[in-house]
Amino acid sequence: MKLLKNKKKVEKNTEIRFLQDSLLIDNAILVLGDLHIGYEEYITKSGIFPRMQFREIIEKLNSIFWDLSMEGRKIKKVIILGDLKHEFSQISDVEWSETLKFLDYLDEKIVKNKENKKISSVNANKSLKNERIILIKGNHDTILGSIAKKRDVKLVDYYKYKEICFMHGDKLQQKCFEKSKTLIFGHLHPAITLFDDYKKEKYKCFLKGKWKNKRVYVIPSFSPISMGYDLNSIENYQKDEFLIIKNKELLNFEVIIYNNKEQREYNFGKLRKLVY
Amino acid sequence: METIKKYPRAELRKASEIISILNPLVKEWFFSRFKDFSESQLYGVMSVHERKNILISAPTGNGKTLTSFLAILNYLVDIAMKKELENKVYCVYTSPLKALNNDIFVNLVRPLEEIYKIAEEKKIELQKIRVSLRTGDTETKEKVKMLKNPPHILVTTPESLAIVLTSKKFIEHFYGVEFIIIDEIHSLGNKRGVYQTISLERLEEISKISPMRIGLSATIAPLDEMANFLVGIERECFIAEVSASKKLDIEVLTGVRDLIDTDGNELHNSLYGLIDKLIQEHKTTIVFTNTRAATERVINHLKDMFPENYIENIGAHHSALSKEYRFEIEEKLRKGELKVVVTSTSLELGIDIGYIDLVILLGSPKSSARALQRIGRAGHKLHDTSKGRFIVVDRDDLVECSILNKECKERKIDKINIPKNCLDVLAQQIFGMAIQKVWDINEMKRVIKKSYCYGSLTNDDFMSVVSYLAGEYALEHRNIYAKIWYDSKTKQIGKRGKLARVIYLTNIGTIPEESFITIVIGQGERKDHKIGVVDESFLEKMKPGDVFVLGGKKYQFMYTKGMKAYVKAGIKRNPTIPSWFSEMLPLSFDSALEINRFRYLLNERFERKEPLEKIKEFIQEHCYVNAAVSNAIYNYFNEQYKYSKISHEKRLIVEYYKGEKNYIIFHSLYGRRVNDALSRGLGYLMGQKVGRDIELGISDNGFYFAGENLPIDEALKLLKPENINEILEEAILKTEILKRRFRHCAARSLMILRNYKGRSKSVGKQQMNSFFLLNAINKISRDFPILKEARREVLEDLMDIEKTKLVLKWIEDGKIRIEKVQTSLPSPFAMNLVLQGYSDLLKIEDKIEFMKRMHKEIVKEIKEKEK
Repeated sequence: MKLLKNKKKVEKNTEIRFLQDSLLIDNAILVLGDLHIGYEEYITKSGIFPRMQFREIIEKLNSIFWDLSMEGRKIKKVIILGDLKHEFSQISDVEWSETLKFLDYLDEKIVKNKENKKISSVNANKSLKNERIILIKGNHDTILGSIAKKRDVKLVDYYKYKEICFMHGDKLQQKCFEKSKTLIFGHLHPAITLFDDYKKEKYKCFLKGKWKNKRVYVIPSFSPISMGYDLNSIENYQKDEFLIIKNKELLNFEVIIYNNKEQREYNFGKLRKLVY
Repeated sequence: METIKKYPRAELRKASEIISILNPLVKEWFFSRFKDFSESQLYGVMSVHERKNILISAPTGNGKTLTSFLAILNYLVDIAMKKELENKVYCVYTSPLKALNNDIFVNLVRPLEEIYKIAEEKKIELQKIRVSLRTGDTETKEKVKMLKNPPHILVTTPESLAIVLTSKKFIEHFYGVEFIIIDEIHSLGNKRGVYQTISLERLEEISKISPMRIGLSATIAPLDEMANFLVGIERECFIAEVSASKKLDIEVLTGVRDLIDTDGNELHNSLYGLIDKLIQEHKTTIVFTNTRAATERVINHLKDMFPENYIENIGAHHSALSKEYRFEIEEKLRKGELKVVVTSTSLELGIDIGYIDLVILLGSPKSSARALQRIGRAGHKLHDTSKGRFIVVDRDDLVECSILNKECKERKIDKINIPKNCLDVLAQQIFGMAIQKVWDINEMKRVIKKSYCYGSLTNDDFMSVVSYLAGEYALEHRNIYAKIWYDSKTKQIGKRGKLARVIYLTNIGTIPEESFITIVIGQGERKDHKIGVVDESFLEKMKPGDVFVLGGKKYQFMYTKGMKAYVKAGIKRNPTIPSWFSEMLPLSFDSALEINRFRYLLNERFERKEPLEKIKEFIQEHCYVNAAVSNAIYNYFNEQYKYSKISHEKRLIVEYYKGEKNYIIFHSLYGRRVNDALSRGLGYLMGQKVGRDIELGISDNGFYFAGENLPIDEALKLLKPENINEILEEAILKTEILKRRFRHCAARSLMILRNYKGRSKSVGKQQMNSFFLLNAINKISRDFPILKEARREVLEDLMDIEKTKLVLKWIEDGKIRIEKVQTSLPSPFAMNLVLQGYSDLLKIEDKIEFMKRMHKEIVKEIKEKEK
C-alpha cells in the first residue's frame, strides 16, 4: 500500500468490518466498547458468586485473535471506546488488577504482531509504543488516569484515525467531529429484541446510519455479562437521551446482528420497523 | 419410594391424673378459667410432664397452645415456689407467625399474671418467671436485656432462633434447655421448616440436657412423617390425633342453575348476588379467593353492586399488603368491626381473628387439608360448628369442589410434601454454624444429618456446599468472597472475615423476595396512572401486544422501563397471557385421584345406561351435594359422554382437535404438579424430534400441545419412569421457572447478598441482579450445588416428579390405558383448558436459528413492500 493521495480515496480505502461485538478497521485496528470491568463485582458485592466476566472477555478476545490469525491478519492497534471499567468513584482491588491484566493481555497480543511486522511491513508504523492501545475516556472512567499511567497507554477524550473519529458517545467532541466523515461510538450498549407470536429473544446489535452528514456506527458493549439496552422501546424514552444522537434520529439507523457461528452479519433494516 | 417411620399413638389420659400433677396454684388458676380439660390437653399435658416428645394434631380452637404450656408452666411454678429458678432458658417456643403478641398474651402472659395474682392472694412467694418475645422487630435494647437476664420462656420465630444460635453470649443461656415447642408445624412443610430442623439440632447440640419436643399442628397428613420431621432421625415421638370436636356444616353452592348456558354477565351477577346474600345473613364472613388479584376484584365488585352494604365494613387481607394494614384488619376483625374480609390465603394460619360465623370458599381451595383449614376459621371456639360454603365459578370447579366437599366430610386429608436435602438452606446453616464456632467437619455433618430433611444427604453434596462456601468455585480471585474456611488436613471448618456475622444477620431467611413491576397506563387521558403491581416473572412472559387481566380489567402490554410496565387500557380482545399463573395453587394429587375415581364411577353408570334420576341420586350421595349441584354435574358429564369419552382412573383420553393449529389435549387429571412434569417431558421429546418450539397449556385437569408437527406417539414410547428425571433436567434448562427458582436459591445461599454493610439493595439493582443471574445460569457448571438445588426445587417442589413416575408406571403396567379420540371442536372437558390459552412455550429452537428465521421474514416483508 502506498501513501494515500486524497481524502476521497482515504474514505474508500478505509475498510470497516463487523466482528463479534467489535469493529475491525483496515484489518489492523480493533475497536472495543464498554467493557465495564468490575461490573460483576459491583453487582454481586460480597456474595459468593462464581466470577466469570474477566475470563469470558479474554476468551472472546482469544477467539477474535484466533480468527484473525487464521486469515493472516495482525492487529496493530486496539481502540477502547470508553467505559473500560465500571465503578465511578473508586477503583476496587479487583477492578485494579483486572484492568491491568487486561491491558497487559492486549499489549502482548499487539506486541507479537508488531514483531512480525518489523519483518514484513513496508509501511513502517509511525505509532509510538504507547499508541498501541488507545483508551478513550468514558463516563465511567473518571479515575482511570493512574492505571493508564502505570501501563503507559494513551488516555484521550477522542481519537482520530484517517477520516474516522472515535468517541465514547456521551459528549460531542467538536474538533474531531468537524474533521471527520465517519463517527464510531460506544456508550449506548445497543441491543434488540426480536419476537413473533410466541416468543422473544434479545440480541446485542450494531447500529449503522447517517447523522449530520456523517456515517455513524454504534457498537455494542463487549462485556459478556451486559446484555445491552433494549432499543425496542426507544421511542418511549424521549426523556432519557443516552447518546449525543437523539433517540428519534436513531430510529432511522439500521440494526445489524452479527452471528458469530457463521461469521456474518444480518441486517434487519431500520430500527423504526422493529420498535414496539 | 421411601417408607415412613411409624410412631406410637398417644393415649387419652384421665383428668384426675393431670389434676394430681398440677401445682395447687396452677390447678386453681386452670379451673378458674376452664370447666374441663380439652381433648388435646388430655392427650398432651401428661406427655409433656413425662418429657416424652409429642406431636399434637388438632383442629384450630382446641387449646393446643395452652396444652403445650400447661405442664411447662406447672413445672416452672413448682421451681419458682422453691425459689430454684435458674438463670437460663427453659423453654424455646417458635411460631412461623410474625404477629405473635396476641396469641402469646392469651396463652402465656395472661395465665402467668393470673397465677401470680392467686399466689399473691394466698401470700405465697413466687420467683418471677420471665417470658420474652424475640422477633425481627425486637429492639436492640430488649435484646441486650435478654443477654443479662435470659427469659425462662423464649418466644421466637425460625429466623430469630437461627440468629440467637450464632450469638456466643446468648447461647450460654441455652446450656439446659428442657422444652422446645414448634407451633403451626403444618405450615412448615417448606424451606422455612427445613431450615428450622437444623436449628433444632444445633440447639440440641448446645444444650447439655436433650430438650423434649412438642409439635402443634392443624389437621394434616401423614402424621408419622410430620412426627419424624419434628423429632429428627433418631428420636422417638408420640402422636396425638385429636378428633374434630367441631361440627362441620359444609355445602357446595352454584350461583346459577347451569354454569354453561348462562352468559357471562348473568353468571357474574348471580355469583355476587349469592355472595352478598350469604354475607348479609351472617355476622362476620371470610371469603377465600386463592389469589391476590381475585381478592381485589371481589371487593370492587361487591362495592360496585351493593354500595349500600359495603362501605367501611369490608377489608382485604393478602401478602402484598403492608404489615400495618394487615394488623389493622386483624384488629378490626377481633373487635367485630368488619362484616366481611376477603383474603387470598394469608388468613389460613392460626392468627387470632375473633369470631367468624361463615367461611366462603370462592373457587376450589385445591386440597382437602386446605379446605378444612379455611373452614376451621369459622366458629373458633371448641364446640362451635364450622360453617363453610364452596361457591363454584365454572364446571371444572364444580366437580372439584364437590369432591373436596366429600373429602372434608369423610375427613380424607391429602398428604403434604416436605422438601429434602435442600442445598441452599444447607449453605445458610453451615455458614451460621461456622459463625458459632470452629467445627470438626464430621461433627458438623453428624449434627446436620440428625434432621429429618437431611438424613439422606450424600457426602458429595455436603462437601460441594462446603467448597462453594469456601470460595472454591470463585475461579479467579483469592477467595476474598469466601464465607468460610475449611482445612482438609485438620478437618476443621470456621467462618471467614470480620463481617461474617453481620452478613449472616442481614441476609438470613428462606422466603424469597420477589420484585414487583408497577403497571402504568402509557397513553390516553389516564396516562401515567398506576393500576397495580405484578410479579416480575409475570412480565418476563410478555411480548408487546399481549393482553392480560389485572384487577378484572384487560390491558395490552406496550413496553417496560425500569421497574414500570406501560400498557394500553380499554382493551376488548381476549387475554393472551393467563392471569396470575405463577400464583395459582396446584390441585393435590390425592384429591385429583379422588376425582378420577368419581369420573370412573359415573362413566360406569353412563355405560350401563342407568336412568338419569338414579345417576343424579348417586352424585348426590357420593359427593354429599344438593340436587341443583348434582344436576349440573350430571349435565356436564352427560355432554362429555355423548360428545366424546370420559377420561377416568383407568383410562387417559387423548383428544386430537384441529383448530387454527393442531391440538393434542391430554385429559390427565393429576393436578398441575404432575401435569407440568408430564407435559414438559413429552413436549421436550417431541421438540427434539421436530426442532421447533411447541406451545403448551397446563392446568390441573390436563394439558395440551399445539404446533404443526407433533410426534406424540414416539414421545409416549420414549418417556419412562426411569428416564423422566434426566429428560426433565434437560427440558427445564431454558425455562423461566428454572431461572426464577435459581434466583431464589442464589439469595438463600448468599451467592448474592440482599443486604451488605447496612445497605439494602434497591429494587432496580435487584432487577439487575436477577438479570445477571439469568445470564450466569447457562455458564455455571451443572454440578454447581446451588444450580442443582434450583433444579431439585423445580422437579420436586414445584412439579411432583415422584407422582409423575407413578403415573408413568401405571401407564406402563396397563393400569391406565391411553385412548385417542378425534373431535371437530374441543370436547366439554377440554374446553376450559383450551380457552385458558397457552401458558408456556417449550423452547427448543436455537436462539440463532430464531434470529435467522426472523431475518428471513423481515427481508421478505421488505421485498414485498418494494414491489
